[in-house]
Amino acid sequence: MSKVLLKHIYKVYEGGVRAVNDFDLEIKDKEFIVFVGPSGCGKSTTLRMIAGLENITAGQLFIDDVLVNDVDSKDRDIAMVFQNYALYPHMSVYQNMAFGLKLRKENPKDIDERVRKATEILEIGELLSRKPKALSGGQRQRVALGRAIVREPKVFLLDEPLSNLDAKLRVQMRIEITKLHKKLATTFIYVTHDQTEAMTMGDRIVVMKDGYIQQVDTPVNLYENPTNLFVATFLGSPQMNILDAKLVKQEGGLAVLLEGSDITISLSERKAKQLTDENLLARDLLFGIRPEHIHFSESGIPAVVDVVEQLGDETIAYVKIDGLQNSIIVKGLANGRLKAKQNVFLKLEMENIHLFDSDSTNSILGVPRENRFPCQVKGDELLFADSKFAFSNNYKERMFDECFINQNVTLNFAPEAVRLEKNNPGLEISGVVDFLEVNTDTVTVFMRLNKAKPYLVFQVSPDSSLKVGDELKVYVDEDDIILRDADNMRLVSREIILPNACDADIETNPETKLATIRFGANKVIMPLLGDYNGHHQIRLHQDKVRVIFSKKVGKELKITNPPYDKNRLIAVSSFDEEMLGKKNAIFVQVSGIDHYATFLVDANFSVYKMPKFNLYLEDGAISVIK
Amino acid sequence: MNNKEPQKRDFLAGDLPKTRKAQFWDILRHQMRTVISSSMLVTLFALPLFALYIVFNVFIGAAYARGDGTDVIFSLFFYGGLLAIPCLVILNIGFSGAFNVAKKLVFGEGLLLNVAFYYGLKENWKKAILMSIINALSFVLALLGSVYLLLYYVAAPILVGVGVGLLAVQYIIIGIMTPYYMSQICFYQNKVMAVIKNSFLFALMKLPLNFAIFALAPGLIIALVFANDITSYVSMGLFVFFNFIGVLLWNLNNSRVFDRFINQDHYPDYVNKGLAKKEK
Repeated sequence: MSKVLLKHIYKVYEGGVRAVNDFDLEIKDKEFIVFVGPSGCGKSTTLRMIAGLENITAGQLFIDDVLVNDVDSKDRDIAMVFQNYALYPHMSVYQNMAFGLKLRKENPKDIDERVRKATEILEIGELLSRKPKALSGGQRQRVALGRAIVREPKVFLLDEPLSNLDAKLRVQMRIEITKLHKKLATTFIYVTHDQTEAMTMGDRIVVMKDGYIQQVDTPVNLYENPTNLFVATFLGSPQMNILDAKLVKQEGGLAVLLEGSDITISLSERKAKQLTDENLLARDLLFGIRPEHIHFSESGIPAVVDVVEQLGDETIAYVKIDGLQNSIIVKGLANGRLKAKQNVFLKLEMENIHLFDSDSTNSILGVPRENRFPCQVKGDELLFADSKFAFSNNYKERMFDECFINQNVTLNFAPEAVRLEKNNPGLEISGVVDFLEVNTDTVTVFMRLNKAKPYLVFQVSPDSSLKVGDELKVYVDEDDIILRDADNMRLVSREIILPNACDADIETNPETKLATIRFGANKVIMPLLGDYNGHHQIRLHQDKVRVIFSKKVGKELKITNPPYDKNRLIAVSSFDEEMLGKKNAIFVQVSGIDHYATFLVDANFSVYKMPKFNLYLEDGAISVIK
Repeated sequence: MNNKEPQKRDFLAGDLPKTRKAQFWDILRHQMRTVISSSMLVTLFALPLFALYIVFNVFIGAAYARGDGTDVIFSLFFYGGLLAIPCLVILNIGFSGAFNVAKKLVFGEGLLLNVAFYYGLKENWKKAILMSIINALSFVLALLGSVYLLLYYVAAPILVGVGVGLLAVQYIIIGIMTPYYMSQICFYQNKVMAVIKNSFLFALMKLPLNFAIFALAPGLIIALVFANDITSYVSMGLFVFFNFIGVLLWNLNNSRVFDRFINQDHYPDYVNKGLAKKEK
């Protein structure tokens, strides 16, 4: 067993640079998972946090159900392989492999046995007496792998191990590492920026950008069903063609109008049904199609060949369509007859098109990142479609009170959170299977709910016996329920929200109606609703505060504090924060309040930029608890 | 941690040295640190012998200076010789660790020096004791016998010459048998008497080459010890840092002999182990 669970992991460096944001992932036992993304996307940082080489700013990391946030790297039972091999040059291959075990004072016989076993697996028996300088890059990387193998770790972490190798060797080592994973049957976490490595090696791939997970899925599913434009264009070579488009109504259904041209492409009824939003007609969209899903034909969209690249077994053609700014890439079998400036007709495989919202860049076809339905929260209950669900105390304690006042709340849950069997307390949703989309690795189920729109979408394995028309009950665990407001801001924290309550002495000036409120070391003078004098219990409202930026941070962020009354400031020092969307939930220590207080501030502020600061209390920020 | 640029091509089994002679130079070129470290480990076991030598060298030098009689000088040699027996046994036990290290180097197996040395000692010290005692007795016999006979050199030079020669031959044969014995106990599981018998046969079968190697190690060191005071200290220095070269020489030679007389028939996998294989 070597399961790795990353629960809402954050990495924020000094100065507020956020390398990893809300990284939430369960890596199964014996899984080969690949983190892929461009430079600076946080993949290596995440790996280093798993290895214990970087501190985790927030969140929890479990290895085999043991919380290891504060466990030393050497005690985590993991082994890491680096891009630059990190071999000791003065030691032979054998010594390099045995060194770690020797330091751990393992039995010499055991060391010898393990080294020999590893050299057998990696077929480097003849190198044992050699020093790294005598070896090729591939052999050095094999030795580095061997050094990891001998530790018999629960988890292998590989940080771009093939980046220093030439192209030919990379292909060879790719296969060897895949074979190694099968032989060792251990969890592998592999970091790369190379999409080919990711696609060929991983059981699942985690695509990352700017510290956020973009999508986690099998290679084929990622390729076939990217959830956003980044994933769509990051995977695949040549990359997906992206064209500006609009959705228009035409006889018999919907069509895509390519902007800049008068070309409309009819959307099949099946695709039209998959649209995740019904109000797309006026919106700017991005139309995506992979080069291999465009073909030359006798009729279709007229185009002119611009450039032809003959690659031997295949041909890549860049063609121009009248009115469109960018060339379209077409990939097909070798075609020696294709010449530049040739007039051709293009036929698109409409079953393989993608549509993205141009603002959010999220896919609006197929499997959404989250199922999203309007719902109501009344007291302790969630009302949705025909379902009613009473939140547990644990969940209620994490809801931001103020957010639910006069809010249009939406219920969100990831497609992978949908279960066919009830395991834990949560939502029970009834519906009918409207249609199924069969992909290579999975079957996507589009379930029509009784009243709610649009579809509830989730994926099942191809072996599933689900059929169109099946009446079905699905379940979503309470922990997987995410409530958001109309602006997509999360309304439920991962931390318990304590009431920002404390005892205070209040003195109200009858003339000015201003109350002097003393709690802890704080003294604020501000209007209160009602004339209060004496000892009272007060409450600080979560969303009625504003951060006062220091000169330095304000200059850095180019923010000027609006005029404020110094009598309304309270000094706080931060514990943590949680980005919710347009707001940032901050957990801070306030004099007079036990434990911690929670406030909602603008998302442009991070406690990692300014751990100690002043909060300005706006009107209504304090109320007296009667 | 900064490695030099990787080689352009893989290091293949075919790139290993093709002969034991080439392997000798290859080990000296690439494993000098191991050679010197092993030599120094063996030196730890030579310390009693060094101490004894220095003390008795001073005593005998003083006796000569005082003009003491030959009986006094011989008695000093005699007691020194007796005390040298356990010291030589200890040294030979140390060599049993070094032979295990050499075996691993010759077979290209890779090693952690301290572990391999200690493992050789732990596994082989009991078997090494017997041959060590024989070797020590033989050496002391040759030394004391020669010193004693040389007292009568003027009276019967031919007989003394023959006697000294015989004493030297017996030591040379035992001296050649010893490394064969040490190698065998590292390589094979066999009864002690069978190992002694094999060592004797190997010593005689390849006598000229064996003698040539013996002349280098330990012959050269012994010769330097008895040449004069200065060379004796030079020999000690050489021993401290390079005694393992002798062990290595013997191991490479013995591997070749074992391949021909044992491995070819019984352990084909060991034939030319550590040398370049023909690439498939």
